Amino acid sequence: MPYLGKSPLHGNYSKLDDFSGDFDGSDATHALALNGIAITPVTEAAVIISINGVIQEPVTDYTVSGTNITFTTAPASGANFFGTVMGEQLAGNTPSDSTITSAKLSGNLVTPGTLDLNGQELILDADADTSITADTDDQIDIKIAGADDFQFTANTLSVLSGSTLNIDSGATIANSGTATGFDPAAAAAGIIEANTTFVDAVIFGPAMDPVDWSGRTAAPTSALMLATIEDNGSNSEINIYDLTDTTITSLSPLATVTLTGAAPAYGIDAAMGYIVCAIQGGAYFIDPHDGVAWAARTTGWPRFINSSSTPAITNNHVRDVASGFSDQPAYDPRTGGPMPTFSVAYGTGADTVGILKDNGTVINKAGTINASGPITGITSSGHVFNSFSTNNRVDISALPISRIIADDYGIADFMQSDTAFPSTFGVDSAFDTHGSMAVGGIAAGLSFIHWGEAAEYSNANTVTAMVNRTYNTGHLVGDIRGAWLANSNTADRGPKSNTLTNNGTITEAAVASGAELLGYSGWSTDNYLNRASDADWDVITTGTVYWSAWFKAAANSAHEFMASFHKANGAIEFAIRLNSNGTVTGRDDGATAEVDTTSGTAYDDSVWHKIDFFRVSSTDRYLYVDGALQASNTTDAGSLSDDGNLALVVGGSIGGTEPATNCTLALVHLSVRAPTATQIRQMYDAEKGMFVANAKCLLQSGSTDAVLDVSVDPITSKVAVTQTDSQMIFNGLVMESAPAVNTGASEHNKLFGGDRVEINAVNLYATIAAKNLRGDLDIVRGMKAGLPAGVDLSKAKAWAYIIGSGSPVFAASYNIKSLTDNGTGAYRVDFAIPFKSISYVSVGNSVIGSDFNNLSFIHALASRDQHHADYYITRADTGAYIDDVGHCVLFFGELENE
Amino acid sequence: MNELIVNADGTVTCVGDAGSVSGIIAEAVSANTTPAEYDDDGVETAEAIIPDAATLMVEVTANDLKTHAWRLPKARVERVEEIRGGRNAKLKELDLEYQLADEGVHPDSLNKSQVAAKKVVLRNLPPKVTTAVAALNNTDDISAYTPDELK
Repeated sequence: MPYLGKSPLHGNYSKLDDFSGDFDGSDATHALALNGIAITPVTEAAVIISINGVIQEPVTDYTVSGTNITFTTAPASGANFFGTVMGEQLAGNTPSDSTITSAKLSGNLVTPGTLDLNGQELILDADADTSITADTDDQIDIKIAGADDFQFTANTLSVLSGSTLNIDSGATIANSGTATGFDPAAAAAGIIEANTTFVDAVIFGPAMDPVDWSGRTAAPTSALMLATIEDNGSNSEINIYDLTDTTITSLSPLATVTLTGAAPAYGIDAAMGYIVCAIQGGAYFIDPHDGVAWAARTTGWPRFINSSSTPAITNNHVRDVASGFSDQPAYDPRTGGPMPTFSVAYGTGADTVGILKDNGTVINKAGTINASGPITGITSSGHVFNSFSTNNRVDISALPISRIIADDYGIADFMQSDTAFPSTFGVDSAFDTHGSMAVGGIAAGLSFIHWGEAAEYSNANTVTAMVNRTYNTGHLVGDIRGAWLANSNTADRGPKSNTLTNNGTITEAAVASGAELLGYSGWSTDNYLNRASDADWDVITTGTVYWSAWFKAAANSAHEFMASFHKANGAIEFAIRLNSNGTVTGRDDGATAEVDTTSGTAYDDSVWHKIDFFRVSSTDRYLYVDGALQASNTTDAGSLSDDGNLALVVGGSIGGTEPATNCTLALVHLSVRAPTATQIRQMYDAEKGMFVANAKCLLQSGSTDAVLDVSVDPITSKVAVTQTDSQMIFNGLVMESAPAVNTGASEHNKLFGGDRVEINAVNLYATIAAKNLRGDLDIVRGMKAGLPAGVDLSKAKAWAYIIGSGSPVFAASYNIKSLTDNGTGAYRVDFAIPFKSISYVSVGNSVIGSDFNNLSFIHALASRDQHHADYYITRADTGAYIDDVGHCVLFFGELENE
Repeated sequence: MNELIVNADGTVTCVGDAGSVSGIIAEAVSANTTPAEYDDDGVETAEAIIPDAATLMVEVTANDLKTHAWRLPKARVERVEEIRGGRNAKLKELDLEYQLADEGVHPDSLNKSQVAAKKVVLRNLPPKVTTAVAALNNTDDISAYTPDELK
């Protein structure tokens, strides 16, 4: 039954939230709330309001409407306030606001609509430390065990530091979008270790060798590693790092080996996993090949060696080490690859270098040590370098390692600061080599040398270059007689000091905007460079002589000589010339005839070109432009000789006549050695970069020409050059980049395929280039597939070495199924893989141990087919068939499966 | 490698790096098999005749080979041929001696008849050698046999 009269109130009597902070004397209406939740009083009388301690009269002093109260007079700012609400309106059994406690709830809860937590934490576990919260707008934090582990922000799910995203077994993670940060081949850089004790470093590993020896050892290795040597005063410490690690900063070493009591340390090198260290007490070897850890090798070979060991080196003062391979290396069962040969450069004693051959023997070379920097090295072709005190010279063994069998073997001059060639600044402590290139550094600057890969080295085919802060010589071929216009209009940058005389005014300007190399122009009959006749070129006779120059020619209308040496009456002349029609000519005017060799192409196009004109002899000459052969000639020009009467002019001909008016010239060279076609092409490629805008080709130090270290990248042949305040990467003769020194003064840089390791006065720093994994894998795949090679007809496709006359047997054979002794001196061999046709070639001969010096082999055509061949052996003296005690037969041709 | 097979004709086959005894014997059997015959409808009219491998070739040891029944006749023939080659060389030498004797300048002062007698001995050598080696039953002995006339 319904109530009569006013209905009773239900709900709690509660104190209202204090809203006096909003009092300002003008705002009369304020919101009513309990614990932050708006409430709706039933009537004014259900609310008791006190302002400044005075109970306000309902309706008269205030009214309520919904969740708001409106005062008749707006309370003044600072007025005291409290209020009480006595019950709320109930709809059915609706409880009052803020009155339901947890204790009143039971069973599974289902919300009839949206559940709005309004930024409050949703606690999930019993001990209240795991929850989901959105107390920051548009962000969800998932807290587990009291720590924020995962976070959703806008479109991002973050696995916070210390948390892990696991993909369990059987689960799948699929990427249909873009994944970043997962690339193991991304670029990485950082300081590996801050330490002032690093002495030297080497990058090594199966990637460089390239034999995958790492799979044969249980010790931690990687495909590409860095080994460093530190001098800790009384000990030397070797650390091996994994350069394939994606994190370089503070990289932990794979292994650390301390050589107790071994100091001071000087250098380090490595090959096939053998790390060799140059230390005061001898040469130390460290490798992982015998066990589970990198360790110093003290037995077997190679192993620690000093003057007291067996075998021994001749002095314990080992100042440098090198590793490489003999031209015919021994097999190393530890690695499955070739056994390296090592060399040590002595710091004192009567020998300059010791070769630790792959067969365990030690061979020394006597000489005077270059005390300012003994070095050694091993070329890719198996020759050994040693330094020598005179002229800061580096020598190279005349023979490759396999043929060096005794001490004091023959050597040839290689790099030296002398009037003799190959001419360079000389070398002391900075030296490196790869392929047919070596690079050396010294206080005077940087030197390059290229040589042929001949089994027996000859300085005749060397090409050198010198670079300092002032000039870059360009390439100097062999016995150079003049290297002019290398950032000077008069100086001869070569070893002969054939300084030119400046006549008039020669214009000097950069070869291109911002370039460091300078070009020379403004040539006229008054403006030219000359030098009087000199023994360096005035008695060439019928021999070799060679002009080389870079030129840029505007359109011209007359012959313009770029360089020439000649007799005053023109009877003898050897010159290079821009012709009136824009083509170029090499003139060889000897005692017999004037022979011009002329290009078919015009080059007066205001573009830099390189001209190379040389005669090998008076009847053999060649003209190249931009590395390509233009013309050759075999007419007999006769002798180029008139002692004391062959003056030389640059920028013109006799007395400056026929000047190079429209030409700008640079790097004009005269040599009495002929380059090869390959050298010409390579010189052009290496130098052309010097002639583009902003090209840098000089040492970049702000204070010194001294070069502290050089490193040849075995992948790219680029060269890292270290000066104390400058680091440069040279590509050819052009500086490609100048990486900033990480900290302090630079000491060493090592390169490998774009990766660079730097030792400076403060730390060991590395920068690893990003790798294109898919691209590199495709290259490997392509290499595996190989080029579509033709059938190799140069190798024997079947052969047999047969011994025994009565019942012959094989000492060795290849692709031979069987041999049948058909009778005296009569044999048949059956091939395992038959030949494609009977058009194969067979030869035979007797072998050591034969009963007779002269055997004749008759290969029967009539009875041969693809599967077998019959042959007979007779004595050359009697013609009788004979079973010899030993013979061999070989078959050449195309097999059925080729 | 180097296993020995004696063939029915007495020749000897030595196995090379890329061969095998079984493979070589199988090939020999295949090569000496008379193929089956078929009529126009593809019905076999005559079976293939596959020879017994043991009648074609047999693997032997080097020691057994010395006395093998297939090998001995061949070894004897080969030795006779070798001796015949040596005899022929000697006959050529006697041709020169005969010329010298005819010119009266023979180094041993032999006349033409004396030289001719030596040639006759050599001409009759092969039958004598054939008889001699026929009595030998070991290839080592056969190989070692050299008639006095050639020593």
